[in-house]
Parts: sequence; C-alpha cells; structure tokens
Amino acid sequence: MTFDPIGFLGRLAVGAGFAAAVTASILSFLALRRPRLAAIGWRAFQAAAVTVCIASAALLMLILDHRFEYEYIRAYSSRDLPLGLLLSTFYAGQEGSILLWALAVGLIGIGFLTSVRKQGNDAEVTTGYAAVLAFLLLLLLVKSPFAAPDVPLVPRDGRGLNPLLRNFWMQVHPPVLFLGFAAMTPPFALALGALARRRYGGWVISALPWVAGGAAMLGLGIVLGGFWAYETLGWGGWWGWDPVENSSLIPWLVSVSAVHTMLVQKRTGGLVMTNFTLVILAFLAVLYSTFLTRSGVLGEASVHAFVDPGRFTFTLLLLSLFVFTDTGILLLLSRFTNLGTRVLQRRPGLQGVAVLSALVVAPSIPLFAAVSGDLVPVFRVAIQKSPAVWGVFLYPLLGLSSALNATVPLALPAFILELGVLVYTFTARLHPGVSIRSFRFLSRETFLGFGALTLGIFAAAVLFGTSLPVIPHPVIEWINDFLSRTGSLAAVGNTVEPTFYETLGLPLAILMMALTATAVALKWTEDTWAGVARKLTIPLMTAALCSTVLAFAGVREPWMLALGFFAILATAVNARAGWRVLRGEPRYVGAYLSHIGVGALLLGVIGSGFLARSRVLELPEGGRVEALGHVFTYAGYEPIEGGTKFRFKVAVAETGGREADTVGPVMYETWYGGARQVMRIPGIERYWRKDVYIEPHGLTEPAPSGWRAVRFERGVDVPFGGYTIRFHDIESGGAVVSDPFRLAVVFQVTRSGKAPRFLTARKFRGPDGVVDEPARTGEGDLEIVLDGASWDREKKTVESVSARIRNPRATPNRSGRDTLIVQVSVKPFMTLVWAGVALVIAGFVTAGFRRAKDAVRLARRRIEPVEHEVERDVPQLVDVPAGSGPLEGEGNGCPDTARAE
Amino acid sequence: MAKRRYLIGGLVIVVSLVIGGYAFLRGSVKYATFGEAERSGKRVQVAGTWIRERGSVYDPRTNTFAFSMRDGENREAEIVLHGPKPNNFDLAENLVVKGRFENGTFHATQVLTKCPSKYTGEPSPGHPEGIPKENP
Repeated sequence: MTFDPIGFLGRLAVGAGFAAAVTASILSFLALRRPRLAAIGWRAFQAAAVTVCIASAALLMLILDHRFEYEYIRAYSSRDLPLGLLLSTFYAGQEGSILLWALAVGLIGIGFLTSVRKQGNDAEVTTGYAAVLAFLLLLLLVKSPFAAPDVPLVPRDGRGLNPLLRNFWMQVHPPVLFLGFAAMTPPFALALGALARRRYGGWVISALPWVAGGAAMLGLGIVLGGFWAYETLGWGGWWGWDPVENSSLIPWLVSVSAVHTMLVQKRTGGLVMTNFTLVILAFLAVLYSTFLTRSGVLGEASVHAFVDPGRFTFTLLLLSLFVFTDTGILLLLSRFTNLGTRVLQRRPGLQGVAVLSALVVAPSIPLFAAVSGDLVPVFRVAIQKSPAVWGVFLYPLLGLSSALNATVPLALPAFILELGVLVYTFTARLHPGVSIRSFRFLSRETFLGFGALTLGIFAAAVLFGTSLPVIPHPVIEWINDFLSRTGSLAAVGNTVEPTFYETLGLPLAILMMALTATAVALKWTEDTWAGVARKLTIPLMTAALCSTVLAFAGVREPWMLALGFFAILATAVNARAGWRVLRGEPRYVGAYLSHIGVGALLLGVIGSGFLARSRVLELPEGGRVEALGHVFTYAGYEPIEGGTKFRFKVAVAETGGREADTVGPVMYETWYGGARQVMRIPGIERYWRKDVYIEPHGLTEPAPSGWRAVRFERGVDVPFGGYTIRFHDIESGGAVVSDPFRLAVVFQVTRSGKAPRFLTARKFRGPDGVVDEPARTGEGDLEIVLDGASWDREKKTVESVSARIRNPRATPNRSGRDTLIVQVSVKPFMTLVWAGVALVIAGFVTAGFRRAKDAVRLARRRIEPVEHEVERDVPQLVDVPAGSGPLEGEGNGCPDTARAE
Repeated sequence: MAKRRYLIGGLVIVVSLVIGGYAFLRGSVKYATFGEAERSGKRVQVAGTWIRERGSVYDPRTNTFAFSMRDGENREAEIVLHGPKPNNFDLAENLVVKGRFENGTFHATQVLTKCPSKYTGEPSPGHPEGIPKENP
C-alpha cells in the first residue's frame, strides 16, 4: 500500500497518545513524593488528550473521504450514506467506539483535572485518570481503526452500515452512552486519589456531580436505545433483558445507588467505605460491560454482542479488568481493614505495599491465566510474522506468557483465596482508627442506606444473570452433577430467561418504592414514628384510592397491585415534598423529580407490560376490522424515500370514537452483506393513555383463481358457496401438531339442510418438499388447502388455522384486494414510561448541576490547607456550610434561617 | 439500635437470595443438542446452522417462521419460530434457538442470529426495487 499521511498521522497519534498517557500516570504517581513532577505529568496528560483529538480527526477525515483501503472504513461505511449516518460509522465498530470513548475520557479529563488542580490534589487523581486513558489507547494500538492490510483490489464501495443501524437513533444513542461511560472515570480517579492520600471526606463533594451527571448520561443513553428498539426496530418492547442492555444497566444501578450513599456521607459523614466501594464498582462495571460486549465471550447469548476480536484483545480487556479491580481492592484493604493497616504499620514503605500486593494481586495471576487461555501461540505467530527487531521485545513476552500459563493449575485455590480477600475487605469491620458512624434507625440516612442496598441487590442479580454465559461449561456441569446427586430435579443452565429478572425485580421494585416514600418523609438524623405517619397519611390515602381505581381498571394480580400502590405512594410523597422545595429553592428539586419519574415509569411498566393485549389481524384493503377496542382500516400503500420503502396506510380509531388517524407502518427490503432482508418499522398511534402499536407482518396478494384466504377460529362458522365450514379439530391421535411441516385439520362442512360432514386437509413434508393434500367434497364443489396453524401457547391447543378455500367448479372472479397482515398491540400508559424516564434524567441533571455548584463553592471556601483535614472528624470533613441545609426540603430539621441564604 | 439495621438489611438480602434462587432455577436455560432436547423435553437452547438450501417459510397469518437447522452433532431438526423472521437471519453464520421439542418439531420462542465478522460477499448492488409480498 502506498504511504498515506492521514492514516499514518492517526497511527502515530494513537502511539504517541499512549506513551503520553503512561508518562502522565507515572509522573503523577511519582509526584506524590516529588511535587515538582506534577506539572510535567499534567502537561503529558494534556498532550495525550490532544493526540486523541488528532486521531479522531484523522479517522473522521478518512471516513468523509471514503478511503476504503482502510479495513475499518471498508467494513462499516459506504458511499450511499447521508452525512449524519456517515459520521456515525465512526463508532459503528469496536475500534471506532473505543476511540470515541477515549476521546470522551480525554476531553472530560481536561476539564475535570483543571478543576481538580485548583484544589491542589491533582497528582494522585491524575495517576488513576491517565491510567484509564492509557488503557483505552493501548486497546487502540492493538486493534487499530487505521489498519490497512494489503488487499489485491481496493473496492469502489464499502460494506456500509447494517440496515438495523441506518436510522436517526444510531447518531445519538452510542455517543451519549459513551459519554456516560466516560463520566464514571472522574469519580473513580477521585476515589483512588482519596484512598491514596487517606483523605476520606472531601472527595465525595467533588465526585457527586460526576456520579449524578454520569447517571443522567448513562440513563439517557440506555433509554435512547430502548426508544430506538420500540420506535423503529419493531422489537415490540423497549427492554428485553438482553446481555448487552443489561451490561449498561449495571453501572447505572450502581451509580444511582452511589448517589444516595454519597449524599448520606455528605450530610452525616457515614457510609465512607460503602462510597469508595460503590464508586469503584461503578467504574469496574463499565469496564466489565465493555469486556462482555466487546470480547466476544457472550457470543451466542446476545442479540447485539460484537464478534470475537481476537485472543490478544480479549486478554488485554481481561487484564485491564484485573488490574483496576486489584488496585481498588488493594487500596481498600490497606486503608480500611485491620490486616491492611497492620501490615503497613509493621513494614514501612515499599515492603508493606509488596506484602499487600502479594496478598491481593498474586491470586489474580493464575486466575487471569486460566481465563485468558493460552497466549503462547499468539506470541509465536507474532514472532514469525514480525521483523527480527521486534522479536527482541516479543521473546520476553513469550516467556512471560509461558510462565503465566504454567500457573493455571493454581486457579481454583487462587479463586478461593481471591474470594476470601474480597469478602474480608468488604465485610471486615473498619479498623479501630476509623470510627463508624452509627445512625439512628428512624432517620433518613438509614433508609437511604436500605434503598442503596436494594438497588445493589438488583445490580448484583443482573450482573449474575448476565455473566452466566461467561461461566465455563465445566463449572456448570459440575454444579449440575452435584445437584443431581442431591436428588434435586433442578438444573442450572447457561443463560437466564427474562422471567428471572422480572420475578426478582418485582418485589425489589415494591421495596424500593416503599423505601423511597419513607426516606423522603423522614428527617435526617432522627425522627419519630408519629412524624412519619403524619407526613404519610395523605399520600397513603391517595395511593389507596388510586390503586382501587387500578384494580377496577383490570389490574388483579396482587403483586402488581402492590407495586402500583407503592409507586403511587412514592410519587405522591415526592410530589408533595418537591412542590414545597420548588416554591423555595427550585434548584434543589432534582431528587424529587427523579423519584416521581421512577414512580411514573413503574406505573407505565405495569400498564404497557402487563395490561397490554396483542392480536394478529388481517386487514383487507378498504375493509374495516374491529379488534381490541379499535377499528382498523387498511387503505393501500405508498412508496416513500424514492420508492425504496413502502408505507402502509392504516387508519386507526377507537370503537365508537371520532374520526380515524392514519398511521404508517413501513416495510422495505435491503441488500446487505450479500443477503436480502425484509425490514419492518412499526406504526404507532399515540393516545395519552395508551399506544396502539402496529407491526407489519406482510402483504398478501389476492388469492389466485378463485381462492379465498380464510382464517378459521375454532368453532366459528365460515359461510362459503352454499356451505358452512367450521374448523373442527386437529386430526386426532392425541398429538398436538401445529407446525407447517405436518398438519392435519378436520373441518366440519355442512350444506344447508343436510347432515354435517367431516373432511380432513393435510400438509406434510414429502421427499421433494412440502406436499399439500386438500380436503374435497365428494361433489367436487369445495376444496380446502391448509396454509398454517397458530398454536395457543397457554391453552396448548391450536385455536385457529389459516387456509385457502375455493369452489373448483365456479368461474373464478378476481376481486383484486390486497390483505395486510399486522400484529396489533394496545399498550396502556406507554406515555408514562417515556415521561417517567424523562423526569428521572431531568432530576439527575438538575441534581448534577446543583452538586457541581456546591463543589465549586466548597472548593473556594476551603481555606485551611487540605493536609489538616482529619478523616475521622466527620463534621469537619463533610464541611457542609449552613447554606446547603434546606437542600433536602421538608423535614430535615434545619433552621429556617438557612433557607434565607 | 444498630442491631435492628443489620437485621433488616440481612433479612432483605436473604429474602432476595431465596426469591432470586427460585427465579433462577425456574428461568435458567441450558445449552443442549437436539438429541438431548428431544430426550428431556425441557426448554433448552440449541446452537447450530441454518440449512440454507431448504429455505425458510414465513406465514404472516399465523405469524410463524419455519426453517431447518443442523446442530453441532450434525443432527437436523425443523424449527418453528412463533414470531416473525428474525433480523439479520439471512446473514447469520450461526443460530441459537430457544424452545422445546414437541412431536418431533422444535418450537422456538426466540432465535438469535450471529453475524459473520468480516464481509465476504459481493459489494452492494444498491437497494433492490419492489415491495416484499408474500403469497398466500
């Protein structure tokens, strides 16, 4: 390939950026001892951020220039894409999306570290932050978007975007999600820095706006994906518990949990260890999410996981996961447990760190080796391929990976040891040097703690369910072996069904709503039962009233009713409290908005998920079809977008309602990757209290030569040519047969005034494909051919069959009418889902801004040198000025004077 | 009253574990081959490839999609998916079907498609004309 300056610049920028980020991390670490180095470290970080910008610009130029000699551009871009979609091919693949993530981390880092530097504790924060950037750039070095392997002929056009991605949401969903991912890095760096410097208080104030803002971004990113699936992909719903969806939900749940516990620390000084743990976990969850979706491990379990990127990238992702996890555990262990502090006291300096590292890091080595598999061949191949010079560097790596692989037999004991260290770190009581804040039971902080616990449990459940495919098969076999030996009939599988999340999520959601209501009604520090009861009376009555209405509206399941009751209760309590705050200090309203949003969201889920009804309808052109309380009329189709797509015009009206609105589900064919596929975009008619969701299944042409297509419902008469035909049963033999390969249906055929006859039509797979055996009357004036049968999963019977009927003797008359076949779903309260989500995000944004202002103000107020901060002295380190008193709204027991500020 | 806090927290965790364990045993699905699936009659998931030459049929009236699949042990089975044709079905190198055997046919509720990593076919000839029609 000829030399290309832009691609070279891109490769160079990634390499230089990696070097700069590593330098920044190391220098900042050294600056803990020699403060002079901090300034150089900061410069190095700036350089790294600039190079990431350069690399991104280079990739963008290559994309806009249609440089198909680059593999990445060839694979995801094409000439026919409009500008917006063309730009979105930047992150259509793994390499580009990691570059986008690195770009977000770099840009956020410039702003974040500038503000941190003003507070004078940048060295330790930069260490962790630059390390994250370095890791991302290392991934880009290994799997570069600028790779251009020699091809015999550069194609004139690229493969283009997958048709599923060719729509508006592709341009917003991924960038927002990655921004959310990147926003989890500052709190992580702050937490590590605080642990390193043993200043356990102040970081919470600086980190809170990032966690809240990150939760807003991540939440927005997740829901944009859901909206995409609902609006255009026609997946029927907006959430499917797919591993990739789950893997972005986990960091969100953890960060939301952290927002609550950090608030507690800010107010009371308690939950110190919890906050470190949660913030570190939120970041690790982001990394783990990347690992799951980008390493190919999910492979067969997910709809949209990427494919295997190669052993080396897999190992790198895994290694980073181990490194950041171990760093977090090591710091927590050395600061908060008896064991850790004792080791550091007895063995000063490096020696102590070495002992602790041996304890924490050592078990990771065989574990890592076991999971990453055999790396030796990777390096062997690399050595064979690369010039002799590189061999010098590769041989030691070969040796290292051989040594690593030799430790594999230790994996099981190492796993047990690692678990032991983890459990010890997280459950061992804080060492005596750190006092534990003991809360009163009846106080807001205690209930916030319970709330965080509930969220944490759900996050753990989602983590477990999502990680299940990653657990090696032998382990699962072993567990099943054990289970069967105990005589249990249960067996563990490799994936879980959505019912797992729903069954566990329902009681947890009820608990969460109950806790939200109580926590908001409670005062900080101390409250009385009478006080809570007084504040809860009106909301309780509201909830009782509204859930009675719900019960009459058709919600009969007790669990659903309970969820409805508590969701309304939480909404009412928060609406009441929020209203008071809104009149006083509108910028403090964030928390209430989010809580109301969650309540609304859950009510929307009850409606759209559990009260939804759905049916397949056949809409003959021009004919009215009534179903599910609505009248549908199909009025033909029109070509759109230059005739590449077709929009069906379906008029929808409520039965007995006013005139109809026309919705337009769309179908079109695409050609992608050498295959034709049919794309379907649903049409949605929105009412304020429900969505009518119409998925097009297909258009059938008029039946040829006198055939009439009929759908027979069990026991319903169909008149035709002097006969009355009825679907009697599936042919006996006891078996329920309902597939298009073997189907035999008995029809009851009655000529008026005569005795009914029973005729059987069959369809089966013969040696040369599917054979139809029609049912015929002896007179030869009626013929029935089977098309298919639909099986009622609940009743376990065939409830309807579709067939063609004709009178072979009659002269065929072609009444040319197309029939549109659609699946119609009525989803009550769908609007509440979107409104709820919007409120949740608006709440987090409000809270994020407000906390950011607090952080800036507190940073300015901090007159005394930070070194004097005593971590144990809670009121001092929390350093809450009187002014932030009214923030929690009613019932916080703050003097009214505070409100005046 | 620090005790009460831990008691309640512990209780929440234990109850969640019980419900979670129950939900898990009920909702977890094993990977299996067609042979195992037929023998056990349980709901499983089977990985394999679509037997392309036999084609696929979608019946919009009943909303069922039928095709043949070959599993890892080279056993073939007919699959009936109760739902529309999955996205990217024609592109898929590998398939995973979730469901159970009933009378010799595998009734699937979900079909996952696994796309090839790299493009190997011919370049796109542009969008084909025409509206997808399916004859009755």
